[in-house]
Amino acid sequence: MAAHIEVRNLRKVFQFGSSKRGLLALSEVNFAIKPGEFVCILGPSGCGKSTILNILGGLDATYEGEVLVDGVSLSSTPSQKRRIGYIFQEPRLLPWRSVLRNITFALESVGHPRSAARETAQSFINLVGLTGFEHHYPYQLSGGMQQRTSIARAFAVDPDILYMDEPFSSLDEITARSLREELLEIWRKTHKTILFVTHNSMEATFLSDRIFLMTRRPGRIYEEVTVDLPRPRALDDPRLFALNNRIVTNFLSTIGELRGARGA
Amino acid sequence: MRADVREAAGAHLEIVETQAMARSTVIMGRSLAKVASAILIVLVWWLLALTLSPDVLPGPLPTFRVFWNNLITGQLHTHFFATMIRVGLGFLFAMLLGILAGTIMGLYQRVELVADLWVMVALTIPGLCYTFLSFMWFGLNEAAAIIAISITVFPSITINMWEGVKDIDSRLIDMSKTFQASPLRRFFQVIIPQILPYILAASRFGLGLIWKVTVLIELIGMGDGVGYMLNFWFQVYDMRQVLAWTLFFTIIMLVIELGILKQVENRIFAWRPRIKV
Ligand SMILES: Nc1ncnc2c1ncn2[C@@H]1O[C@H](COP(=O)(O)OP(=O)(O)OP(=O)(O)O)[C@@H](O)[C@H]1O
Ligand SMILES: [Mg+2]
Repeated sequence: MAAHIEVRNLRKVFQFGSSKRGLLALSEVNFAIKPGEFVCILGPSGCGKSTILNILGGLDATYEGEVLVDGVSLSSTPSQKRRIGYIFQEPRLLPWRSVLRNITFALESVGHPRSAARETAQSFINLVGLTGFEHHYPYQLSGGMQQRTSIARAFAVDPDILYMDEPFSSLDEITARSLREELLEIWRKTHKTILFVTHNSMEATFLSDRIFLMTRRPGRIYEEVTVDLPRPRALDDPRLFALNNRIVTNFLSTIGELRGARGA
Repeated sequence: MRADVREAAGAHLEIVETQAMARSTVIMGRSLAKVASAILIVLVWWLLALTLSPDVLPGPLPTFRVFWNNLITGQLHTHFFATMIRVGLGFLFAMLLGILAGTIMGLYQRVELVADLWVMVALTIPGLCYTFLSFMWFGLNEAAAIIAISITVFPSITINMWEGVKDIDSRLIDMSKTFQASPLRRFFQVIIPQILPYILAASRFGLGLIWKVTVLIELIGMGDGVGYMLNFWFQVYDMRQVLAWTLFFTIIMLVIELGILKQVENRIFAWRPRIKV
């Protein structure tokens, strides 16, 4: 099957002001994601996960290497043609707009007519369990409810690809669990391609078809783990635990090796 | 999603009766308090006037009679109108200049680096100096007065706008970009709402300042306006007239401040949590 997203030799240097020095955030990132696949990027803090998503999401255009979406280079695709949903680490809602109007903002931005936008927004509000809170402002919602709004907003625009940057990391475990299940349920129904960033290996194992493991800075994907466990998965499935342990051990040894190599 | 999980997440809306008073009751209570405090001021004034000679402090009633006389002879309209034009135009130019300068300073670090000293200097120079300079350069005319008013007020508006533009949350702009929001939509629906509180704060502050400056300028170099009349009655030592004009002017200012600006603010900022002190 043709890849939905393909990244070749992606390199990213953050320049320090106007000086010649810079910080190498990503070196040699390569991967391909199939349509409808759920992929997690797992790596330690500061390894460049958000940097990758920012580039793929079109928020950062200064990189080296190639990013292909449906075989077309991202840099040559006009931004209006991209149909993506982006869920940030924080909800990033417009504080002066109600839940409903935050979602219609996104819908109208991608070109839905106003009247249709309201209806679509309402159905996605119902989907994430926020019925009755349509006219609440963000400050009147809990953190989890704000994050649900941002999930509803991303799904409502009917994107081809969803980028999610640690969307549950600031929530308590119980809320996070419920939202993960909710996410899988929506994914099962819609079969979007999802690229999900996390530093929680259990979350990655529970959610994804494949996991990309990243090294510390400069970030690089050093291994891909296929999670071929049947869905729906149960959190207390011993196979999930086993796989999770393997990933953690693998990760620690790799980081250790890298450390050792650096120290030598 | 499993029902028990949804339950745990607690997304239920329950309407419950609260002990809090209805909003309308609260508002009515507040208005009553305002009226009572206004009556109290007049009462104190009246009592003070009883003990003092009318040359020092005329009572509310004689003052009001003078005010009424000014009103029916048309004197009030003429001078009030002249002042309002100056206030209005001065405010308009100060806002335009301040918003422009503040926005540029907020957007471009290099401009900020150079201009922040200028703004500080401009803010420090007393309005009186601008007035004299303006009258000496441009003559004792309407344009000079309006220039002086604008220049006096514009630094503080610039500072407000500058802060506002620097405070724009670029994360929200990024968010809107991922949804392909057009630049126009981004400007009107993401950027403007973020600066609006600063613009409003700037206009309230600016207006408060501009009244005072305008009266001063009229007193120095104009042949009409509220400031001119105040000075005129001061020269002939008519305490009732001085009080009547002051009172009139204060009431108009309050009406604009509380009746218009405050209402606009309440309406625009319904999305902000009410801060209880
Ligand atoms: N705008 C920037 N300017 C300079 N350096 C940056 C910038 N953004 C990120 N970096 C650097 O790039 C590296 C990767 O950052 P990134 O935000 O991608 O990490 P991350 O993997 O998402 O980490 P976390 O899990 O903590 O969110 C970091 O070391 C950071 O210092
Ligand atoms: Mg990050």
